[in-house]
Amino acid sequence: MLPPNLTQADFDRAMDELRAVLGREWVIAEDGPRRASYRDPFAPRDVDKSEPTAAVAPANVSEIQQVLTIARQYRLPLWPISTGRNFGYGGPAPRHAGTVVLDLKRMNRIIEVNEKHAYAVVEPGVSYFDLYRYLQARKIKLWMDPAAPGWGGVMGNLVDRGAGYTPYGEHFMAQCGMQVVLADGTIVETAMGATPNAKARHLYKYGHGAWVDGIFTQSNFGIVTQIGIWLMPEPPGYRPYLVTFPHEDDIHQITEVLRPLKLGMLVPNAATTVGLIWEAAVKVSRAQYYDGKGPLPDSARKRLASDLNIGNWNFYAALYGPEAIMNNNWKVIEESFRQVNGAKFYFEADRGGDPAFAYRAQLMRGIPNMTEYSLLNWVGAGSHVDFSPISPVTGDGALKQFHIMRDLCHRHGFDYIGEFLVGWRDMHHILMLVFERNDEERKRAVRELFEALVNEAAQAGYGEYRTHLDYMDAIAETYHWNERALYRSFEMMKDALDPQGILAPGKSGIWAGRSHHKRS
Amino acid sequence: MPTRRAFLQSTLAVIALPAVGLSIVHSAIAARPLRFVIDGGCAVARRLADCAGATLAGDDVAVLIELLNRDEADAWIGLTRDAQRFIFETLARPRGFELRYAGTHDYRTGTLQHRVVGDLALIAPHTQALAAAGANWPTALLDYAALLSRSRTPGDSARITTATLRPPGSADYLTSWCWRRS
Repeated sequence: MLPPNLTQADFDRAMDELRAVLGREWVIAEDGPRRASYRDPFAPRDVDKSEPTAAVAPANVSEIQQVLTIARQYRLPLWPISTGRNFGYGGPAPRHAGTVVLDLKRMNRIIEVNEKHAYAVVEPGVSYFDLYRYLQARKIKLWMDPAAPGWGGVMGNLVDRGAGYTPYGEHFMAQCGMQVVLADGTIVETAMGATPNAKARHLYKYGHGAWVDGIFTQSNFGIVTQIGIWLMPEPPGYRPYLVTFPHEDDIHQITEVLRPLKLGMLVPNAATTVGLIWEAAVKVSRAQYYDGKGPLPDSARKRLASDLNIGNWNFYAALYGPEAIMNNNWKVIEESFRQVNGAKFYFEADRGGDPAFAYRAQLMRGIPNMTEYSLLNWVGAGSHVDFSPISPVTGDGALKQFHIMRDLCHRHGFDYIGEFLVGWRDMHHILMLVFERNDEERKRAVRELFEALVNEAAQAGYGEYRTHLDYMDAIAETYHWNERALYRSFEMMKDALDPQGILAPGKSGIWAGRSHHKRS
Repeated sequence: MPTRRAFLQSTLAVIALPAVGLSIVHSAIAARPLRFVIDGGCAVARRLADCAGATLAGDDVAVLIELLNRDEADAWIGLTRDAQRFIFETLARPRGFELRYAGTHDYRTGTLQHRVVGDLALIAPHTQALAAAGANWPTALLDYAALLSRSRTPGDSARITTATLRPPGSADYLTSWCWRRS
């Protein structure tokens, strides 16, 4: 499918010009495995709807600028990706067919790691595995904070405001300094980077005047080409732990106990309260416990919990610091969670051979891995799409949200596979909708479920923090307070920064040409 | 004709990825180097790696990426759970690999059902071996690796129902596949 309003002849000319800039190898317009690799393999609907017309892979900022010149001339829509491997939200695919993916994977330099001030500066193509190996090879005593699949992009995840599991788990909070290329080719250094020879480019986030870094996250206002990210100095001690809880409604008390521990930083990391099936699914499959349709019945859930020695909720966190501090903090944490009847406590030695504990322990100390992918084996040939509302750190809030999500999942014939990722003042309630990839009926059902989730969450006052390509407009519509004032602001910014609308059309529901400024 | 063990004793190393559960067996047989990827997270697949006399050489998916980047193997053949197959596919496609053969091996209805997709006339010996081998069916992948690498998809599909029960420790849904450089 051609880009909108472009003839085949114009498209061919554009591709030729791009080949002249990038080299033939890096303009992927022909049918074949390379172009197919930019599809969304987990799409819950017809995958052709977001089939890119082509993909181009520039090697540096200069080539990006030249690509933008061509894109402006031909009004070629571009969809920037870093590693494009967050498949729960659409992976490398653009929102619509007829878009050219701007694959930034060749820009994969780790530009700097500053051990003294504990930060790194990376380009879009750097994965968590890449950064980890860099740190290990040089014996740098800094920990990074990976998202769960380690092949993801450090920058890509951050600019989509993703999260990890160490004390630096709120990735965007750890960002400091950014380089952005605007649609007109202007290179912008944000914050302190805007002063020549900046000495604190990656040390102080805000600079002078308006702080703009945030507008380049989850948006289509520019192409981020470098970021500074703070890394955690290796602590003198690290002790991961698991607390299991027997009942589903324990989420209320767990959350009430957890809130002061988080606020007081006795639980310093982005801890997770993991539901039964999420915890189990990296180890076993659904068919081993139940061969019927619909959600796992209680009897099967009980057997699962018993066989694997896990709870209906499984709280993972870690102690960091000198032994004396870890020991002291543990006393408070254990005493706090003992208030929940049936709580059981485990350290690493108690969970030997448990792949779920092992991968969580790795993530909480900054070691990337891919184990969480095994979750998709829950249904044999699984795909997933994620629904991620934000929950307050209150027992009432967590319980209410859990009931809404669980009941909707069950009503539509799906298991509740979820976890609460605990942040500074909020919880990211990640609901993983796992469905059989080759079953059209299940794909239809998951689409219906997702729509129901969007509506119910919005009515209850829970906004999503991130969403799949297919639902970006729907989620944008839930942010409609004061006659869509927020999105009207986005549209004004879009029309000012990218008047031709060539960058990531529709990303997060932001479209060009809608502001009154543009219309007049 | 070399024995299976001799065939695989040209093995250079096995890269086990315990977090992902992938073991990679190198084989430099003849002029058509093939690599095998075997799911270390599944007992049935692990026995195949044991059969090959494989040894551990590394443990993260970055090693797999490096191999794909610099490797001269024509084809990669795998026996893995589906999520692990997906990981390999995601790495292989952008590097110009095409799927040549695909199989599923499903114990979920109680007994083992195979489904294969490819050039059925070409891979008939493999299909027959799956039907006849009972619990030893994974060895068909080793025995007929060369055929699988010459197959083509999309092709016809065939289903084979057997009376084989799921062995303890085995995943209940496995995939076999062959990706070859285009």
